[in-house]
Amino acid sequence: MKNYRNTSDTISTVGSMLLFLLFAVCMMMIIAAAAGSYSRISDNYGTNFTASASIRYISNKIKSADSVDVSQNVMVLRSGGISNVIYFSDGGLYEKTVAANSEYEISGGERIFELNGMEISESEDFYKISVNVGSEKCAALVRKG
Amino acid sequence: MNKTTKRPLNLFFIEMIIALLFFSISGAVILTVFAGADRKSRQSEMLESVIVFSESIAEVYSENGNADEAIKLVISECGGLDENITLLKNEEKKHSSAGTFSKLTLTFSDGDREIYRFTCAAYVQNGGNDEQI
Repeated sequence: MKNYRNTSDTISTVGSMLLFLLFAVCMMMIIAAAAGSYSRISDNYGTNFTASASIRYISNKIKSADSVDVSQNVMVLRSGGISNVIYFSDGGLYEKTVAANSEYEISGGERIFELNGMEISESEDFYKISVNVGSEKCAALVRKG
Repeated sequence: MNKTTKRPLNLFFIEMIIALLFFSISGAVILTVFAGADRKSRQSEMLESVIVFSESIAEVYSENGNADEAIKLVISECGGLDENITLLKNEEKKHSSAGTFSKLTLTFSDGDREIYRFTCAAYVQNGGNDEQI
């Protein structure tokens, strides 16, 4: 009788532990899936937002400027008595405001976006803006004038 | 005596089955929700790229008033879209003695689902490159 009771207690204890183990394993699996899904969505969102927002930022600046000078990775937008210098340096898009026709250095600007690369080129009728964010490359054309 | 040994075992298996059932139902619901969120994220990514693409087309189209040229130029300069995306073009032109007014409607779809539709217009004065009405 005592033997049976012992066996029954052992089975009951092991059963409870197995249930707890099952609970823990299932919770871990679901949490891992949730974390993976969330981090993928968050990364995609960050990449898309930065790429499109930086392109729109630059294109709006171009549209609102009176004149635009473009050289590699540096763009000088003049409107009124001031010049906005937008440039890519050190893994970021920077902007700096200086007085029109004054000398400027490509440093000391305000960091606007984190980018992996930026290129601005000019053709007869359009400016081409392309940015790299993470593994994604995004490009857009903006009409001159 | 038999009763004392069988009862906890039966109870244990019933508990185990209930727990497994509960977790499988929760897992199925949660994974469906995650898959939905992932799908929404992809759709949002696709929409974002389509909008940037459309804006470039609108910029070029407002300059030359030629949809085919605008699309070709944007694809060659900015790269194409995802291969699953189809693009439908509808262009209307009205000629006058002063020039040509053109209206372009582009519809982007992924299979049967319409992703984005936008309309832009251009006015090309006489001497523009429009030949067909």
